Amino acid sequence: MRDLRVSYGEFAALQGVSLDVESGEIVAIVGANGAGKSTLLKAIAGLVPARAGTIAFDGRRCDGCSPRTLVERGIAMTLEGRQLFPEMTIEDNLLAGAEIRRGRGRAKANLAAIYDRLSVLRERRHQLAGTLSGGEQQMVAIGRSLMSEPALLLLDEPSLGLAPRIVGRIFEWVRDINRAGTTVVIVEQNIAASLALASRAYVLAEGRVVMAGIAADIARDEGVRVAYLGGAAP
Amino acid sequence: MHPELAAQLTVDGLLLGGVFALAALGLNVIFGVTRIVNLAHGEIIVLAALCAAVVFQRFGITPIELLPAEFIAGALLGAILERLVFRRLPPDPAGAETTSLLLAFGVAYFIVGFSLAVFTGDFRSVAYLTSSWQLGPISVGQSRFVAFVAALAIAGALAVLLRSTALGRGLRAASQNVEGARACGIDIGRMRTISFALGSGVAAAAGGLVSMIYAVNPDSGSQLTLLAFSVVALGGLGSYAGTLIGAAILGVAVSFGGFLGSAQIGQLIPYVIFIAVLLFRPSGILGKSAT
Repeated sequence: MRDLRVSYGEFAALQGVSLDVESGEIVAIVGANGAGKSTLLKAIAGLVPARAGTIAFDGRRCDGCSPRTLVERGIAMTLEGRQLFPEMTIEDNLLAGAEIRRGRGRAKANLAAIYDRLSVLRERRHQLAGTLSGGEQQMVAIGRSLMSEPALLLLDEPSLGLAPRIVGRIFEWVRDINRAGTTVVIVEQNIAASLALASRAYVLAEGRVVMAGIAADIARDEGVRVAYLGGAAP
Repeated sequence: MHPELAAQLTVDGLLLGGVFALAALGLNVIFGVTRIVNLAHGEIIVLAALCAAVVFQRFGITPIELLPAEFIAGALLGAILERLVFRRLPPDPAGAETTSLLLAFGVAYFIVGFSLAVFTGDFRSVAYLTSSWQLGPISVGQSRFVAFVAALAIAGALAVLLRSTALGRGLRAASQNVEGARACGIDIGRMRTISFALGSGVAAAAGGLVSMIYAVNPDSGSQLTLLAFSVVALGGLGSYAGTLIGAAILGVAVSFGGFLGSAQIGQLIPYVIFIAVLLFRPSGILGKSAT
């Protein structure tokens, strides 16, 4: 991604952000509220238009593509706040992730794989998504993204509002998803957890990248924490 | 009131409710996905009813035989309306609601003018299956009964489409969370067009059935729009079962009102119910309380 700029009206959310993600990595994007982290993910997924800059995926330009085209090409995003379909069953929510050509033929097998990993979802598959706990909803949201068999999974605040025990389970799942071959970019307010999960990280502040490097190094860097991440020790 | 008469009026009303339900379901599908209150809904119903009347008169094709053609023509009209008119609304969601209301109003008047030019202002209906069956003390009008059965069949087909097909899942997803649907790669623009096509197709089918029950002229549209709205208000927006129950209640109310007062008073009933529900139970009888 090169020199990406995204604006909402007068407000410039991203002011020239460049980042690289290698296939097979987990990359964390951290920063204070309003730094532009979510906007960055949405721009990659085609959910907000980029005003300038280029995005390439798998060696091909993909900025300006519709979200549908990007899902077809293998980019899936799990949105902040889950954004499930509350009046639909868990199973229908998951199947909605396989409406496109990619993954449709193997929808049954992918569904079974998700249920095998998270048996609670199999037990409740006919329950309406709106009746689930936050943790279960997050599992459905990530599962829905997996139904399109993404090569790149974008996770926006997957731990938001969840109990630490559930966060541990979800992060463990994300690590397994990555090991199975999916590249992951994760945006998190739970900085310690996401830096522990990721191999590399970018620190975003006011729409710009202020630091990039090995996740473990950034996690140890007192200066970064004080300057950009709200100061609190983990 | 004599119990046999009450039973007769109830049966009449329930049969009427089938067609009301169909009209309201079309409205519900469109609103669910697009959040557009389609004030032209009744005009599409009336246009279809007038077509059915003329086709029956000229070619002897019955409204039931004409149903597939009515559905397809209505769906095409709906798709064209969405692509040509409603799609051009401003993207700002706050402004879009007012603008879409005004636009739909304009479309309604356009259809009224068009219908007047083509069909004149005469009242038309189809004199098909005019006799009745006698079930003990109750007589069942054949045309009403056939229209009722056809309406339920179409409503059932619509329910199956929405519940059990990939397209239906896409439509429901788009109506429940636009951002979530986009992230799944569901094409929202396409879903909006399809919802207009489906809703208008169902409205046109309802229109064909209306021609077997009522005499209508091009000005009858707003009445039918309000009828459909009353059903939706009663049953709660987006509730399928609620729509069916709302339609049954309204059908019976119209039937009793027409007998106890006069035809004119009967026509007032939907308006009274509509206002009362909005004032005292705005989420509908089965609808969840507003959040």
